[in-house]
Amino acid sequence: MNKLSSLTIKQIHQAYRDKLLTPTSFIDQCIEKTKQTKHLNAFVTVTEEIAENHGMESEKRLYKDKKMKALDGISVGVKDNFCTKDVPTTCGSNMLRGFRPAYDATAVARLRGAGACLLGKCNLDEFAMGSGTVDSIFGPTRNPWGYDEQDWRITGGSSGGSAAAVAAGAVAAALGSDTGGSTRNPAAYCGLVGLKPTYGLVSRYGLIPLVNSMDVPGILTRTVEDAAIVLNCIAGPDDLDSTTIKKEFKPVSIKEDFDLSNIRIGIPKEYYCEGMSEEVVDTWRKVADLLENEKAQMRSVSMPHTSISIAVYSILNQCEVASNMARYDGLQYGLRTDKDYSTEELYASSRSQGFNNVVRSRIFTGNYFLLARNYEKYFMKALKLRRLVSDDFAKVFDKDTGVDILLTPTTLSDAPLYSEFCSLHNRDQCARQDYCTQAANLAGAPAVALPAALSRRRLPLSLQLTAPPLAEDLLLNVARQIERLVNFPSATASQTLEKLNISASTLPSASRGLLARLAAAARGASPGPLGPPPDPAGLALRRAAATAQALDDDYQILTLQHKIKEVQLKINRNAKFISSLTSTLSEARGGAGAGVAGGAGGAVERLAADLRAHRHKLTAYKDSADKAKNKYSALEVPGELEPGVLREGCARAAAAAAAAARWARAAEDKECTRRLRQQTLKLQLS
Amino acid sequence: MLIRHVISHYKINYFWRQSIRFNSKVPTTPIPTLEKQDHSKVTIDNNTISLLERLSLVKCDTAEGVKALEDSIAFANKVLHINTDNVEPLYSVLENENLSLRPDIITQGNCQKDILKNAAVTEDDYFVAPPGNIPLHEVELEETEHHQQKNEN
Repeated sequence: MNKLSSLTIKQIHQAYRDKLLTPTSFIDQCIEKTKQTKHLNAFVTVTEEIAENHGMESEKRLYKDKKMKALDGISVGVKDNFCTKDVPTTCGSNMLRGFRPAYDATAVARLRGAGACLLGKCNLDEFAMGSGTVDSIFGPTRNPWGYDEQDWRITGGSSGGSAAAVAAGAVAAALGSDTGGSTRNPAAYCGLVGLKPTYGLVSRYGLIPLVNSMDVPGILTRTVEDAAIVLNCIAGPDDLDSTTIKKEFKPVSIKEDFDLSNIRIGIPKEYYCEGMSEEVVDTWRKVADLLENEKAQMRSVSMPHTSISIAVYSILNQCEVASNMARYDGLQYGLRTDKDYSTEELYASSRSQGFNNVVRSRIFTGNYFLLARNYEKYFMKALKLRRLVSDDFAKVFDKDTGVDILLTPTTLSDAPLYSEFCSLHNRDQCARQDYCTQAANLAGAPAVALPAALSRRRLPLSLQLTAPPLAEDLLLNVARQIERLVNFPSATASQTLEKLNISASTLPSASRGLLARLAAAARGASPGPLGPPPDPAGLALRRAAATAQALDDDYQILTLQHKIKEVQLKINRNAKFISSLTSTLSEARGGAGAGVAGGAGGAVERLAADLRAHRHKLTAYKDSADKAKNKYSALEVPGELEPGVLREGCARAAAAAAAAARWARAAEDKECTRRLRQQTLKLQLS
Repeated sequence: MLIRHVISHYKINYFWRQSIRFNSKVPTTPIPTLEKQDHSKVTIDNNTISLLERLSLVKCDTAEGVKALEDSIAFANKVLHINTDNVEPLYSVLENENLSLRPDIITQGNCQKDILKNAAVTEDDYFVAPPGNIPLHEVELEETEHHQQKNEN
């Protein structure tokens, strides 16, 4: 368990079905977790009451209506640049402090429609302009990995609050937004899966715009499968956003046995840039090797315009920001100062007070690029260069000569310290942080960041997969295979249960108690990545982790033993049936003998019918015995542990089958004799 | 114990135990950038700054603000040398998609309260604005003076 916190969506739902957990108790635990991790500053607003209500609704659906929606009882966080009805939506800016939208963003509404429980609004860089979640009026968000009160690491950004909330275990999934890497970058630094869908696949309605032509809602989860579940809930056409793709969305389905051998994976060499840490490149190589071992077709490819894309992105970003930010005038909503000499003066003073220097500087630079004298030189040039970057993707994804998917790093290093990060200016940081991520936004392609390894400092290192537009299914299936190969999150008890095909509700109460304790331990302990033991808290966590590990082992042994008992019970039942069958057979034999002796043909026919019925039943029971045996052998329990009863049972089944065959033959013989006798009689008569 | 063995086997982290071949397609050295490494300094004159201030309706007159602008321009300048003859600008990545507008039918209404609730100042059912049609003269004058002072210093 080297990953901060806990359960996947499937596991939570399983726990609900098995009544180990109820939605309300789970939501309470999540709220508790937000309080315990307050120092991380993941949330701008914790919507405690709303979450409780949503949890109650889920519980009602679950236990009264016996129906569960895809995200029922799942806690979610939403980046604070998505509109949420009557819940403050601030964009981390003074400009929108206290702004309460009158409607829900489509992505939020769809999450709610799928039963998700809104736990709160997550911190971000002001108006999502940044890559560290350090520029918010609510202060910076801290990374739960390698946390130290004095010198903590940034979460990455701009969806850093969403990432910290998921990594800390306060929510199971969170919405971010991704304009140049704002979902994937914090996912990389916080050891999470960060999905940027195809531009236009998920509605932007209600997502406060940064760069209209690149913004997409992003998804942050702990596993690839969770990301797929959330994507399936929020993707698809939306009448309220004219830039959503109008084709019907085909839900992504994760196949555990996805075959990599037909997949061509490209390594774009230009993604190895100056300043990329050796550890990141090594991880890249290792995962490429792992994929090659899985028979995937690895190819080196070239995307020549990669190195200029970041500057193109920067120009377009600032131009669109200048235009987008024009809506904040302080009249209809947002901060309004008391300057009332003229409208323009009110605008200027409200905007100067409402925006931080990063936002002001981007508006300023954007307007410079958009000046009549610079329009062609910068803005049009950047749009043309954008096509070159986008064409790189089109060429590399060519159906015949290209590849199916690209494997690259997500960030240049593991999570930097806050002090290191702040030593560079916002724009320089973005140029560095977004190097590998923003090109996918320029081209509108889907991309996913997934944790691949731990660095020497015990911090997550991440790789990025990029697929052609609308190839989310391929993207997430390959991501799932990599997730499986690198084994970043380790197996948990419920995964083992799932593998054994055991429902936890069939377990003895002692095991259930253990499971509950285990879950509690897993939630409470955040063991793995805590570096060298610096403090008593760290040591306690380690001890808790060890206890959890021991409990996990004990628990799994218990489940196996229980399974053995279950199988034995089935075998006994089979044996009982077989013996009753044998006795019926012997009775029938007696009857048949009498019948033949009496020369009554009807009795023989009845006997034949009986035999057929018994033979049928016998095959069915043999099948079920075989199945039980197969199931049992799938447990990989060595032969010497195989219960004797099973072997006995099988032997008896075989014996019974032989007996049945023997009797069938006898019956046929008798039938034959009867016919012969009749024929002889006829002949004699004639 | 055998069962234990099965479990631990299941948990083994294959990743680090695998022998690393390192013959993969990942390049061995960083690939040089296409950006032009031009370190000539960009300077923006005061007239442009005040024009931008009037257009942007934000103040950015501090030395730090001007430097950020100049740095951003220098950063953009690194890619202007790339040849884009006969390249069409890319406005939207959905240029080949069939995007439709929704029918022009009223679907919302009766939300006056909702719309007004976020305004700081309202009167009856109206937003309130100070007198319009007055350009940002005074602010601009102050700016110019400020810049002149700075230049004199």
